Amino acid sequence: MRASTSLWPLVQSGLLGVILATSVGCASGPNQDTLVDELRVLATLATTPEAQPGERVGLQTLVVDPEQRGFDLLLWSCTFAGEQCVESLIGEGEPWAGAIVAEGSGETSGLFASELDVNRQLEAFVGDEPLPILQTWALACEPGLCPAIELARAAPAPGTDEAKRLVKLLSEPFVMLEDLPLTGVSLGLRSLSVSTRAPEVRAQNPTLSLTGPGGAALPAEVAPEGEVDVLLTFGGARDDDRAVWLYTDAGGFLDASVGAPDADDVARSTYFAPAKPKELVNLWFIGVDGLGGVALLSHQLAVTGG
Amino acid sequence: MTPTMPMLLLLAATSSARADDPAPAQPQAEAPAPPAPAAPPPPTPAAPSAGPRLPELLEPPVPAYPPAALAAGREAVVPLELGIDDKGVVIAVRVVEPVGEGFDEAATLAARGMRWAPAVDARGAPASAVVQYNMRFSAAALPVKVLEGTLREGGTRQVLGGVMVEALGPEGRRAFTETDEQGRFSFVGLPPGPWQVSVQVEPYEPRSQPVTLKDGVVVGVELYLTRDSRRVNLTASETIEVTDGRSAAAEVVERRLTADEIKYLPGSGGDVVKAVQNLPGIARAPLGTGQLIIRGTAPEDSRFFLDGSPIPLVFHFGGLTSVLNNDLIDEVRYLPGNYSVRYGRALGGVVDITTKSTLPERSNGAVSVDIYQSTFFVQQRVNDRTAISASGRRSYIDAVLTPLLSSDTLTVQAPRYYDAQVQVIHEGADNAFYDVLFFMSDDEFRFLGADEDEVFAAFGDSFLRGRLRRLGRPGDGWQHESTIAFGPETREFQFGDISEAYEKRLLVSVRDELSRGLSADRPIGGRVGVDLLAGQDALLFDEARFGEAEEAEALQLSPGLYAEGTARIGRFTVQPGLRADGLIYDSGYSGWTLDPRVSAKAVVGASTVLKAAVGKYSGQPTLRQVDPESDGTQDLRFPRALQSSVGVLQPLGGRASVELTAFTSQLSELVVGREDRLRFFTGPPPVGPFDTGAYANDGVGFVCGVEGLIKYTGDRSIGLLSVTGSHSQRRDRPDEPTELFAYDQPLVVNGLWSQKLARNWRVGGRVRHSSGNPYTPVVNRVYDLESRAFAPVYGERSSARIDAFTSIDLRIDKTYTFKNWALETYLDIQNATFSKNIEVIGWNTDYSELDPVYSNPPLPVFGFKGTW
Repeated sequence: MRASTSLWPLVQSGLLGVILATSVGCASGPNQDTLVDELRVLATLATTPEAQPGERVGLQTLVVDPEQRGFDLLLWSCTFAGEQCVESLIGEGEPWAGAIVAEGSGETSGLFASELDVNRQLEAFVGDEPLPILQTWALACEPGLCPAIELARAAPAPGTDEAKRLVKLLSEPFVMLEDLPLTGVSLGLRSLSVSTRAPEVRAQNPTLSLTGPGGAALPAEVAPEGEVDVLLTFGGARDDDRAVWLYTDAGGFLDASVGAPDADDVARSTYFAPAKPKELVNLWFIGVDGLGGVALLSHQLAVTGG
Repeated sequence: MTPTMPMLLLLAATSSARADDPAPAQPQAEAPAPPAPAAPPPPTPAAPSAGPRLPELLEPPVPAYPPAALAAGREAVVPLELGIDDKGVVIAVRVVEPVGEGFDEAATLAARGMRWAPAVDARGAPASAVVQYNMRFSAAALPVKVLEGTLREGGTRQVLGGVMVEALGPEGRRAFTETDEQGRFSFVGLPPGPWQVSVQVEPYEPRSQPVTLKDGVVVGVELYLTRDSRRVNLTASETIEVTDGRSAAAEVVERRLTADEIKYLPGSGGDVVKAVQNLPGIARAPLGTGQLIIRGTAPEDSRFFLDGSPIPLVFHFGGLTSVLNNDLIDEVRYLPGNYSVRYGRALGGVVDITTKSTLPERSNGAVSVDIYQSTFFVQQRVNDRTAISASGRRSYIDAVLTPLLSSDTLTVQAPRYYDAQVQVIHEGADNAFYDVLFFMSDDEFRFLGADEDEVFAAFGDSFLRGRLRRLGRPGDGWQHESTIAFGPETREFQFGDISEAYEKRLLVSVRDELSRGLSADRPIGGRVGVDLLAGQDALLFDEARFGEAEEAEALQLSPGLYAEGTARIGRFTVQPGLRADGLIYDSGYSGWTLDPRVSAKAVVGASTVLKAAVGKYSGQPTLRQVDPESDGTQDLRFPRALQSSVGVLQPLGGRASVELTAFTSQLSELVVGREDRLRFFTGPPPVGPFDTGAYANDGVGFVCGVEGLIKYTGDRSIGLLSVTGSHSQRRDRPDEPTELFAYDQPLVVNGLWSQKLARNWRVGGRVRHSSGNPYTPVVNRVYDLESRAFAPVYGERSSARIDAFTSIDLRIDKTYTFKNWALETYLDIQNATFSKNIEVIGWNTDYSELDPVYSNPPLPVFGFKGTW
């Protein structure tokens, strides 16, 4: 019998945390979750977070490779039901049919474009209520680590053993990951909603602007262990769950994410520069509006002096 | 018994040696004779000569006059045969012709204080001899009482009756007397001068008090004896005998821990119930869970009882201490499996806490204080048949930690718990024992906002019980026990304003049992009983992350009937039994089961006991599992276990024993499913993946193992070594592979030692080693680009295991004994070796590294306890 979902972890963690905290004290400083220090698919933006059956949706996938070791990228989408892609059950094609293979350029980050044709037959399954049934997958692997990418790159003919093997891998991404190494591999998942609502009432991506305190531009340089306050201003539909997630490839932000109160639409946080100078530091800001919309901003600065 | 002694004189001379005691008989019971007005003649030698000579009485004896005989005006002459060694000391006394009424005992006692000139053999050397002597008791002349006193136990002031007191006077003169039931003693007729009043009796340290006797003055003295700290009578005993009285059971393994035995064992913090965790068959539970994982079953598969009535929990939050005051507890019965039909509704083991069922000898009390809690206990004798007690406990971890952990925006109320008990016990004129007990327990753990009105998270667990029990002893080995208990119990959880969960129960339990134990001349016994539970169950689980809210409420009736017989044929004892249980919810569920069980034991050789048992044990589905409002499955059957065990118990001399037991448990019809639901009190913490299907009796399992217990009890030390090797596996669904059970711990070893030292010091230690629980490793992760969180990808189920747990606990204590009370101070250090043990497995946020919760750091607990 497996262990069960329960309150116990919360209670126990709280108790143990209370006990242990008395001896170790409380930590402060940059949140380590904001530091991206290994290959990671960081975001996928869609031209619209709520698509209609038959619509073509443009996608942009942000991949961060802080160690600049290079990577291959496989992008694909499917209609996800339960634990499997079921494209073949509802009609056109296999889930791998639209897979795109790309290669990292050796830069710290890259933005990769792709397109998704929403299956027209989904009209039979969706209505006015947005249904998050489209899933776009982005698999980034250091070269040679992921057989699925090699298979997709070879573009096997439908019906061949290679093609069947690729279908199985891409239709069960969690199972595929069981046989992949933990490091050098990153699989990102983004869901998109589908509805038949009119375009003017469908969810839209928010806008996001980045400034320093008082509306000033963010500095291009910062001293080692220096601090930079950032203000992120939302535009677009309001929702209680609006938040900005903050990432960097050196140093760290005070918060992993910050909310944007309705009063001023502004989310605030602080960036802590690393202790050593660095020629180029990337800051990424990913805004989510709680309604499916996503906004992406980035900023680069140098850590100099000291 | 008269010891054999060398006889150097002729038998003819010995047999004719006779002396009558003409001394005035003692007018008081405790009065030794003064120098006789008419000195007693010496023993008359059969053949007086310059050569061989019989012993010569130097001083007259000082017999104590039996009080009853004195009051009745009785007089007597007790003929004695005295063995006198070559130093003139009386080393043997035999009453030749008993006269009764206490005269024989008084004469014997007085004779031992007689002083003689030793016999002389033909060569003129001192020799042993046997003489006849008539001890005369006459009320005609009463000697004067010169010394009186009382004998008590230091610290408790408990009087000590039936203890011999010696007075040692000038020129080696000795007198003896014995304390009465009130601990009083007195001496009469002792001549003036310096005397030493001495007492030497186990388990106390020898005590001697100098006094100066004067003519015309009665000297008073109070003697307090201190328990000899170097002697121990601590045992953690396992009982397999079919006994008279309370238990008619022939359990294959029944381990009993009595309160006095184990309160000083290291690592248990003096908690009687907690000490059970050291015994074989119990896996180590994660820190702070207070769970008992017995023989490879889940904690919820075992049951806790208080005198046979179910109680929802025995440990306060975190498992720090039990919910009942130690001073109420007589013993803890731990039954890991194959127990009697008296207990049901459990697939695993049973822990039955037995409260004291005898009146205290006197009013008493205790107060204890340590770094995280305080307790008190007072018990007052109301009259000869009735006593009332009150006790309670309050933790103050919160008082210490709240200021440390709270901030401007967060108030942490660390575990806060308390309990209270009020009990009235009465011995009825009908030879029955009546017991009214109210007890409650309340635990809480809260994270609050700055204004403390805002609840971020709160967890509570409480219950209240009222209980009435009658224990009748109609005679001839019969015992009739009737118990009714009632009260509410609640477990609740709140997370901010968005989620709430609780399980509530209003329970009435009734047990009525007639039993008859075996005895030396009664080879047949047995028991028959009714075990009924009724009440109202309610539950609410409302947390959006776990799906739709579940809410259900239903009336419950769970009748149980049981009967078993016990027969002894020579050295073989067999005990067949049958138990029937039913469960009815008014929401439409009903089910029942019939559980046959049989156990047997045989005594082989001088003291080897072989034992074996097999039986069916059934659990019951919960309201949540069967109620339609909570997506339950209405046709669930009772989960069941087929338990079997064989064992051998071998005493090793008088101080040690070894016990080996092999056991199996075949589990079937286990209820599985809905692991995606919020729930209480399961563990260890989930690591997934989860069975999200509907509830079904699809689970099966198998547990097997061997338990060993070696016990040593010396004069000054006690040692226990318990070893459990086991394997526990499960298969949740027919199409799934068999896997290790989440609590499987192949090896659990507990070794304890406690050593008494001089000056009331005591030291002890405990070594623990247990295998870690299996878990399902995370082999990869998926980054959810919406929630911005990683989701784990699990590897083969239960294919990894947490590192083994190893820890050493130490304890040192010292007891200071005063006249009216005693003070015990102690220092209990858990994990004295700074072992870094994993308690709960976990990962960092991106699942790239293990980020477990580690066990407690070294935790010194200092405290003291005063008793009176």
